[in-house]
Amino acid sequence: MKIITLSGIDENILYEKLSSGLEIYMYPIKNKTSFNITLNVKFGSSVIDFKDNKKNKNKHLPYGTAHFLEHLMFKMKDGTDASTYFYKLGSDANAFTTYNQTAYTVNSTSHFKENLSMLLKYVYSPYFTKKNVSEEKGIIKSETNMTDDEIEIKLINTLNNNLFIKDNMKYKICGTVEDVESISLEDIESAYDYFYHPSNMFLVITGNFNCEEALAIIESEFANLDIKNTTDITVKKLKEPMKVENEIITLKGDSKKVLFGFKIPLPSKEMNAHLLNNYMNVIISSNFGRTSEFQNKLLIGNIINMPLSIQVFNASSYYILYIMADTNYFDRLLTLMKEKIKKLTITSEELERKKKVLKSDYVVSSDDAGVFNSYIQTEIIKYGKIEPHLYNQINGMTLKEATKISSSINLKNMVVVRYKGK
Amino acid sequence: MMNYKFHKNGSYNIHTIKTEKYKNVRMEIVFHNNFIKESIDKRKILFSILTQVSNNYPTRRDMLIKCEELYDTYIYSYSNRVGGRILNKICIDFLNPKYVSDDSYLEEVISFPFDLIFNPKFIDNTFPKDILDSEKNALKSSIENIKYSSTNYAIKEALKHTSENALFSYYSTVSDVDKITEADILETYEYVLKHDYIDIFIIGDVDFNNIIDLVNKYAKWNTIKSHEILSTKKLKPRNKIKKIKEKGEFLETKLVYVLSVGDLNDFDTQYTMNLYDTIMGGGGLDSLLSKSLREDNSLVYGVSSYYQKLDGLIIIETSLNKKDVKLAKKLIENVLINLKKKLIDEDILENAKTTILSGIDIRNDELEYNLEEYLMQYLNVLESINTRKLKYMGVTVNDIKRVANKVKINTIYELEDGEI
Repeated sequence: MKIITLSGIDENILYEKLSSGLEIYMYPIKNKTSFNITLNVKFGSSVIDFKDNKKNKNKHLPYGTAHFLEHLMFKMKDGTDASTYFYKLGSDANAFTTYNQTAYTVNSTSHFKENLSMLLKYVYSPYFTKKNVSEEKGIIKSETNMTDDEIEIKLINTLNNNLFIKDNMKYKICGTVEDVESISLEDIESAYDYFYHPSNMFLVITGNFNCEEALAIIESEFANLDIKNTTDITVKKLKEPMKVENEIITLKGDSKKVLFGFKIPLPSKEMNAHLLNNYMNVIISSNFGRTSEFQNKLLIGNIINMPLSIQVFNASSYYILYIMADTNYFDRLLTLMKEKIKKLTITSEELERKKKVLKSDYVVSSDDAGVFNSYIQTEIIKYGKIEPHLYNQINGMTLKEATKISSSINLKNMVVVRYKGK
Repeated sequence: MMNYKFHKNGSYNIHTIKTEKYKNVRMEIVFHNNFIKESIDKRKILFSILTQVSNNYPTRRDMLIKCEELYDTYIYSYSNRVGGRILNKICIDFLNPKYVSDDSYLEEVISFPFDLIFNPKFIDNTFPKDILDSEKNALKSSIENIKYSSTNYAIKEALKHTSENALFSYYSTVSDVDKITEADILETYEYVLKHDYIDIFIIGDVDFNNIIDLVNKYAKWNTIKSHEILSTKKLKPRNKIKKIKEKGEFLETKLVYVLSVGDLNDFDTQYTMNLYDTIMGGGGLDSLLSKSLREDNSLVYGVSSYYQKLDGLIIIETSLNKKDVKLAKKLIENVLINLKKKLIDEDILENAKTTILSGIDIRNDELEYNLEEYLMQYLNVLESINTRKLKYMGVTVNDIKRVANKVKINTIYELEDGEI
């Protein structure tokens, strides 16, 4: 077992890799009652085209396949649903799919062995039939319609469809109703066989549990599993152009919600990815966040009705920034936004304050089994590893570097989605 | 292990909960009084203003900058109704001082909310108009945004049609918010300081002797309150079901049932009906409704029920295609009828108990939940955790059948899907 010591917060993550290739990250937390277990697949909705190198064959999955597969994983050969087993233990079991990941989760306070064993069993014992594929279509179509009925989700899906040209983040995670209808048993089996191999997966356990016991349970379960040889595949990666399709998209309706989306070329190709991420968060927060002069001006002028909602994240070869606003004055807001994005700045005082915020958030999140489980998942999906010196990295951030990064942030590639008319 | 202590001051009470479970600390200053509809929006706006500006922090930005300087301290207001009582809280979450090298940090953090409360920003002896207008805008926007969520809108309309004057169907309106003036907010401010019950809860791993001294230094309430908080009227059963159908602009039809639970004794109110609700619809994918509508018939992605014990009602809600509504209604009503006619399997009851007791344990790791637990016990809404666990275990299948027979459909509301 390898120990990853997290500097600055005096905590350890324990790491083990099995012979099957499964990576295990364990983070026990003192004084907690519950534990969180997530079994994660490095396969999400953005994986559509890939090549089977052994057979030299190109493969294609319909949009929404990863999400559909997630639903079907709970179906057991005996006709029951895996969630029923967890329910009887008093555990909260769930799953989710993102663009880059599918995760199967369990949260409980007791029966650690049973919960962990069952999670591994049901994910590694797939049961797919034409019947259960057909039955699940009605449920998923209802889900996809429900997402279109939620204003904010509709805004994000519409924005993504126009912000991205080639990247498969262009498409809804659950697919459209037509996509769902087109998914076949063969698609599901193909997705599972190619991507649900332990070497493409990782397990994260956080909270109240014993690491040695966890490893013993995992090894015991794997001894009973028939793990096929790894597949040799290459996922088709498309180079995303920095241009966008349409700058302003208008949806029919009278909601005051507006979503701005920006595709940002990497401001630095040399900087460590974690460090760049910290600088991006700090700079965006200083310029658009709750303490920014920009947001303050919008609120005081009643240009926006409530604080902006901001999200910035790394999409591997570029960054994405979402800013959601609630406004009665779209035209004025657009003018002010276009003015603001020409130049981003940061002062010494802002940087020092934001460093305090980052450090505090890191300390507090390390105390929550659910939050820290999510943090570890993000680290592995985005960066492939945990950054043990994040706290020191934050301390070492400088105004010189922050200024250089902020002057390199290009926000010209913008798409706005708004509602208008009845 | 949590060590709770009650400190009575006279004009306010301090409740301390010492625990080593968390790296952060939470304080809630809870103002509470009778729920009077005409005052609710004014109270919401007042408490929002109080957590945004003061004489020392004349703009929202100044206050937020101070929060960041205090290691991302988070201060906000929150209001909710508990039966016939309105609670307006000023909440502050902050990093445990042991992680901060600055000696003045603890006093700065503890004094912060009291400065906001007792040193408000006034212009011409009242709250500034521009700040009031900004808060009114925000509240009006959130009221208007309800109609864009089919779930929130359908539940609101179903409750309105169930009983327009009941507290549980009260929702703010844009026109009421528009009428609010600076004088209204000033009057509300003076009223809450003088007449609201004040309870201050603090949870974390800190030196409480020091914190209590700081609270007593900065808290300036000086009136003793002794008036009664009235309980709310529970929903009475209706002879004829009220059925409403409206056209919406959503892809899915929204279906909402409002059920009355009848006259229940304390035990059934607190425990039996909660288990009934978990079995019927509140227990996630394993509830009877979920099994029937989703698993067996693939009609819906999700169906849920919520028991509001102080209002004496249960809400069932789901989204589905228009063509499936007739079948869904039949299935929902079959579940309710079967619960009345037949005894459920012991397994089903045991699983529901496991779900509820597990839920209590899982939430035990959450700082906010633990504080809320002590607040609700103090207000006599909940018994202690150990007592609750014992009493849940004592519920039988006969008890479930008995309360099932008191449940009646009051309202069926359908927001039909339409072109968008």
